[in-house]
Amino acid sequence: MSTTAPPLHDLEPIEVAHCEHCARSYWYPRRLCGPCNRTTVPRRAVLDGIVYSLTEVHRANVAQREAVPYLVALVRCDIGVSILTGCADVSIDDRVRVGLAPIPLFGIIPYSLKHPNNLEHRNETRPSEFPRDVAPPRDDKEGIE
Amino acid sequence: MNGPLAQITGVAESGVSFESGRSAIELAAQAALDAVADAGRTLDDIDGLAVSKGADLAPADQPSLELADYLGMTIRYSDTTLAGGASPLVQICHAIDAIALGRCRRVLVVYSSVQASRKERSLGGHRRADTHHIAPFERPSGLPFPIGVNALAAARHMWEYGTTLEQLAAVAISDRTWATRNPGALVRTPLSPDEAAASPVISSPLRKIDCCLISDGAGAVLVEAAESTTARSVGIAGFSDCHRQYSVLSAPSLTTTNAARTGPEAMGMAGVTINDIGLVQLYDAFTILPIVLLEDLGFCEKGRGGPFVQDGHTLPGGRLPMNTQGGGLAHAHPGFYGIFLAIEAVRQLRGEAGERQVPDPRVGLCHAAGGGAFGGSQVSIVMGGPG
Repeated sequence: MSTTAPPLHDLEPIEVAHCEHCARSYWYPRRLCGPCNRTTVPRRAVLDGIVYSLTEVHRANVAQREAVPYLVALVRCDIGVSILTGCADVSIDDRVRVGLAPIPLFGIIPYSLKHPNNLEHRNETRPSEFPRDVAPPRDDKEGIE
Repeated sequence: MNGPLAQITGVAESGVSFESGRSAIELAAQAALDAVADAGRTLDDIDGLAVSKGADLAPADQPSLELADYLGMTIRYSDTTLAGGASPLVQICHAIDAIALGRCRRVLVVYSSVQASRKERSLGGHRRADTHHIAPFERPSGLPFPIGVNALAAARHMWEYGTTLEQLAAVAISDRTWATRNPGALVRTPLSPDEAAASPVISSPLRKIDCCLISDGAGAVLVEAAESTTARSVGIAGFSDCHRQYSVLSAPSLTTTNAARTGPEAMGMAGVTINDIGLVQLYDAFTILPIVLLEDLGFCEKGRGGPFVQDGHTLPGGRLPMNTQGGGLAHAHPGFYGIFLAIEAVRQLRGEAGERQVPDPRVGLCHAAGGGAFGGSQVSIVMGGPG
């Protein structure tokens, strides 16, 4: 049994931790921004991103054994976080929207749906590496207090 | 090649099987004693133990102390470093440092597990303990661990570089070909391309044949000072390790690893180049891993690891013999396979590998990737000939 995708407008916001100093975001949420030693603030949003990779699981843990085969996507969101999500009918490098959705046998989990503007995106340049290591904080020294 | 920084004087493995019927601590002790005997030493000569926290000696909270207790040893150096499958090789690096500082003279690095007998793992994977802070965020999607992370890496590699299922299978075919020459390997039948193609998908694109074995087994390596040469010792001339992500969610890339850093560093320390390497032992928990490592270590261009293996270079008679004992895909895989990479490199460099002996390999490169987040921990070790 495969999972059935929820409608796009049913995706609920995901909470991430955001550092207003260096503009990094974190999934999973945390209070401390490690690289710049500042307190983060929670942000709730439905996120946009790109499917970095995808696998169809045929042999699963006990909890999801009845759900096989099902898809899992590793999504790199525009705000700089990677999230493992459920999905259906997407492929690598697809533009997706990620939010929480109730999925039978999985519970309420992050789920990716094809972005309404997916087709436009496919004509753009392919994304390169994950930007987290590339984007420097605004001022490293200032962060050490 | 530069002079050695340390010597490996003894190696041994014990209980490599699908059901050893013995305890992990007993296998660990047996491998330790056999390695000491292999070196021509006695237990009294040993003053350091390194047993990774992942070795499932029961209850494994202080495994090096547990083994010292079992063997009646007093040790001056104790290391329980946990870096996934890379742990034993990282511990060899630590032992070299400790011996060079004079903190101890001879360190036994030991790994042991009876996870096959205990039926702890399956191809569907296991989950990280609920207590781990990242588990609630990795788990809900149902990605099986650790195969799912490797499946995501393989899928991305295929997408970016055109790597094929046949090229992934070529890694398994290479390992299985070598294993037919190793009486100690658990799977000694060759693998045909047709069999590989018919193998069931576990987590796409990875099939059953792309996954390592799940076995029992223990291994031990005795590390001594550079000047402590014996007739059968093998020198370590370079080493390097690098640690990055704990979770796949933090991995900067799933197609490039820090092997690109540790490999050149270890070879630089040893004073050798890629062309001097006559043998590689590359961690192969899943077939995608050696493909990425061959690229990152510099044996071929980025993206060409699949064609490199498919062209037969890693097979017997090829220019870069790889995983000559059969690797984790055919020899054994009791969890942290890293110890077996070093054991086989030593046997080959001694010229004691029997039917699978590589003619005059001169210099061997062992590389392990560990940690489950597609190579969060990377470690390279360059070994030279005897003495």
